[in-house]
Amino acid sequence: MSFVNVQDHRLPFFVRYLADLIAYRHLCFNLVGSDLRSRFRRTRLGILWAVAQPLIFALMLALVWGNLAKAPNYWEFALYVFTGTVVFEMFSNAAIGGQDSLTSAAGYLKQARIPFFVFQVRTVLSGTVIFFFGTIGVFIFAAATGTFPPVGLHLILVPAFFGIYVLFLVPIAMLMSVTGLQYRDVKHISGLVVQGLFLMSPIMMPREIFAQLPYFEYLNPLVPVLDLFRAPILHGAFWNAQSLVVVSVWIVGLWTAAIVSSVSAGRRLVYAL
Amino acid sequence: MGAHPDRRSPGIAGRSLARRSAPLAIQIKDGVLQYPLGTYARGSLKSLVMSVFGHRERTPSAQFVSALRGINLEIQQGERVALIGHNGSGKSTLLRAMAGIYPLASGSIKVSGKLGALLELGLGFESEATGRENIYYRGMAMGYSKKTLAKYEDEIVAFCGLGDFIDLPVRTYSAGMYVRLAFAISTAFSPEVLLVDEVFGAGDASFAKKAVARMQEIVRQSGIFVMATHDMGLVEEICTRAIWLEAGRILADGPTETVLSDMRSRAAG
Repeated sequence: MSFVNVQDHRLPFFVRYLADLIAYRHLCFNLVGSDLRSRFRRTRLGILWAVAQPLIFALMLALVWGNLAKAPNYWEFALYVFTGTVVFEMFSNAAIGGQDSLTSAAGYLKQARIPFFVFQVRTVLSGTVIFFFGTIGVFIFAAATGTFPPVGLHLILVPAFFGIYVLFLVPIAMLMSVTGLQYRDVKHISGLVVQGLFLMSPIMMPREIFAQLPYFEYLNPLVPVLDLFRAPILHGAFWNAQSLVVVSVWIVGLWTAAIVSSVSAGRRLVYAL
Repeated sequence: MGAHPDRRSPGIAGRSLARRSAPLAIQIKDGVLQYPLGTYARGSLKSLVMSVFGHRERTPSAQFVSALRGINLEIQQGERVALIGHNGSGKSTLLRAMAGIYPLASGSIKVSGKLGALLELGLGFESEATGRENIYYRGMAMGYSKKTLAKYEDEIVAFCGLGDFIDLPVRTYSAGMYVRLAFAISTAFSPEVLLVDEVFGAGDASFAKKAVARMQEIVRQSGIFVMATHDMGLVEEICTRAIWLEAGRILADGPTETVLSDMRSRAAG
């Protein structure tokens, strides 16, 4: 039960797979560009929507929830919601968009033996570019509203967070694409889970509420993920070791599950496209 | 029309056939391929959840159709092979298995050489991207770098003859324009092992003539050529060997004239 292209068969599987990924990197990066162009093509604001959309959403949420939570400073609370919204948007993009990452690439996958990973990672990278512009928006908003924390070495952690977050989201996109093709129910369940996570994460809810639910911080990975993003931006602080450990454990677990499910499904998934 | 890029040099994908250390070949041993019927699934989530409560009634496992049954064949360097047979006989499936797109349920396929496949011309376009942008996407899906594609871009644009439409999104194209662009991109490169599924004579009459001429040129350049087709005239013109498939099995395999003669006798009798 095998397909072998003899010209590169002397190399171990992992090396061959890596070589394939490198060979198709151009395709992956150009498709990310295509995703962004088609998302913002013919809009007046273009890529600025990546900032405007979460910002307007955050301002509206902050108006309602800031009053309910009796937040002492509207702009500080708006920045808190804005940071939560941009992080959540990227998560939602990976989880929901990840499901269709292989289906939308059927045209390519039925033409050539291209690694599935190229299209799974494409979804996350498209979200990363939008997240990048959203983060710039966060800094501009913080500076404009006088809520910017003291500048210091801790800000180095912001680009480091991008790396960690991509590592966290790629296996989620892989799992969603593989399970989504095998179980059609996944699409319905994932919509519910993503909506639930929005309400059960410190996006608009004050962070203090979650401190009263200690186990929840381990069960919902978005709690420590949001802590890592906000620490240098909102509090001018370095990362909390506990959040970093919890996120790392989640990353290892998700990668293990993603690799096992991908290897187990193999290329048979192409029949479902 | 400028000279075809690969025709300017005998090298194919940066390597000349004459300089290969190992001969090109395709070997299939006991190849069995099964299509899942309906959704490819391992059972519903409902049955999974119910099994936790001791519910033993299992969702029937996915049903399969055997598209290839015990295929054994070997194709050597220099051979021009036609896969012939009725619709549903397994020609296109066998091509896709050779390209490594469809995995076998059992058996093995070994391909020695750089593969290239022209399977479904209409597939693999980004509808919001322009024709020019799609030259890059499709070329990259064939494993070529942006730099290589930039060298061939003008030639591809000239060959497809879409004029100013090349800079419009492909969603605005007619079916014929789609085919012209896809054909021009897909045939801009000559692989060592070329697998083709019914793409000769693409587009309108004037383009079809140009397309056939280019295909014949590519066939001459490739080390191994395998084509699935219903066009027996083309088979006689191009191929040295024919493999007749029926219900996923090889019914006859041999020189083109012999196999076609067998096929015609059976159709007549």
